[in-house]
Amino acid sequence: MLNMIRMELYRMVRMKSFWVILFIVAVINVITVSLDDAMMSDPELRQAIEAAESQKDNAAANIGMSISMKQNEDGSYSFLETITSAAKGMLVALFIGIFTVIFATADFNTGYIKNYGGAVKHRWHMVCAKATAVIVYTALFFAMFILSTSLGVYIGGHKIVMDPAGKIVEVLCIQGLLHVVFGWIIMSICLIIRSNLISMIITCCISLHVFAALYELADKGLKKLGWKDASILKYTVSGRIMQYGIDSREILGSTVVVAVIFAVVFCLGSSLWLTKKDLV
Amino acid sequence: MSEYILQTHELRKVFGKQAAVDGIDLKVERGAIYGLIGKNGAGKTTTLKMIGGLSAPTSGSFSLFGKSGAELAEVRGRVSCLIEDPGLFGNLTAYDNLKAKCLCYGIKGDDYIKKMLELVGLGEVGKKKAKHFSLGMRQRLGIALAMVGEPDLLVLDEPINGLDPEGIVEIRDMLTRISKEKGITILISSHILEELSKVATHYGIMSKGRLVEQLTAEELADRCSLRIEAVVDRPEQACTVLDGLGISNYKVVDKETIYISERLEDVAYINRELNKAGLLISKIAVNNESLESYFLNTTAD
Repeated sequence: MLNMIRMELYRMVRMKSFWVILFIVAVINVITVSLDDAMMSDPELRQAIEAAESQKDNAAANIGMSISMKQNEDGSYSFLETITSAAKGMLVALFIGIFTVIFATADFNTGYIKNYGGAVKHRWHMVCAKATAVIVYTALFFAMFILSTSLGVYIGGHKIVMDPAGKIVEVLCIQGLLHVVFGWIIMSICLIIRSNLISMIITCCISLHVFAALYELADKGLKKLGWKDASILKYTVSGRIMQYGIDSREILGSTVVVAVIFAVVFCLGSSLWLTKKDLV
Repeated sequence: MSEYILQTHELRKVFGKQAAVDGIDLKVERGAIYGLIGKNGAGKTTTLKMIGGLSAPTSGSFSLFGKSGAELAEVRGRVSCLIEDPGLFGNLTAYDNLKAKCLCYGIKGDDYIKKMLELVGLGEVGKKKAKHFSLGMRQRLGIALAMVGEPDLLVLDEPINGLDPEGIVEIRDMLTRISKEKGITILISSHILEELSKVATHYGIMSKGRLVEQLTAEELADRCSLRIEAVVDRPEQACTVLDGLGISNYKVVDKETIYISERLEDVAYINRELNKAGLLISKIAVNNESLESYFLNTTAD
């Protein structure tokens, strides 16, 4: 299996999309972070953003992506808030999902799987190897994100307030875990349906909260059945990604449980599927 | 006694209601170059996919290197395949494509990859990406990928597709050489029968998912060898005449054709004797059957 992981990592770093996605996100991030202060200092724009924010709170289900960095009263930004705002807005998940779709289906789409798939002793090794590559990609993506955010902060001349080290580690680890599991969910969907297009649509639907509208609909049904505070989104990985921030210590345990359950179900499911189904 | 490294037993693969492979019993000897012949849709590729571990049989079983069932996993790594068109990462070079598979097989060293590239005539291809390769180059790289790890059984599905005549000769020579020098058993399918006949030591003829016939190259040569073909009005009476002449190596093919495979030089004498017996002979001549016509006759409805 170690050899297969080596192969997956090798082909991952050789993929053009690996570098293109990292580069594009880094550039977008530097620009948006550096301009954020300027946008917030424009009274009209600030008013519009605040109006949109209040609407978001009232809406039952919102489709689309919303990223906003909260400014402290003295005009400074929290380091963690700066880093996690895009993660909570599902921007990071969207790009990790897009790369995962391209990466996980590449050997099936090109037929490269025929070169080694038949010789694999246990097909779940293939899932493990791809899952490892997703972990590495997520770690690199987060590292790039922190670096590009820092660069954006530097260029924008923002004031940054450092959060406690323990808090930074906690939030980054939990967000990292949730994003890895998100990547695994997308990877498993890709391995099961083996369609770039449908997998990409599902990725976008999750990241852009299209499914949140469906969850909302299901919640209404559950409420009618008697579960008064039904909220399916709370029990999803994407819901936890949007939820987990600086002051989310109380949901740490349940977040880890949600992540582990989704990881086990999807990875096990795709492993079983690969074992039972023909590779080509 | 011959050692079979591959034996299938009633191997069957069904897609929906259609049986692509319908209970075949294939036997491949160690060191053989086994040619699987069949028309399009005969079930060759599906058979090779099952043997290559890419697809699971619906029913039946097969053994590789004496292992079957759950034990097959132990020997899967000794089988390598090139099924249909070569599976390549288009954005990677030939070197990178090979390197990825080498890493998967735990093979280290750039020299090995360079040697493999030279073996298939892609030593000078450099940084050119696989998506810019010609069909022939892709095919060569596919063969190189299949050769990684020195498999004991090489499964090749139409490997000379798209190759120019020079490339066909090179690949043919290479397959013969690796089979002899390295003792690699090769299971190869092709619809270019004349080409297959230049390398294969054994043949399996498939039609409509079934294995119609298995024979050695010698047996095939015998069957396609010279013979007297006589078209007479009453074959059963002709048989009595032939028996009277002491000819036993003959075969009634249809309601008026007889193949006689001995005393070819006596065609005029046989003609006279059949005439004497009152038989109406519309044709008698010494002919031989081409591999292609033998194949077409064998797989005819």
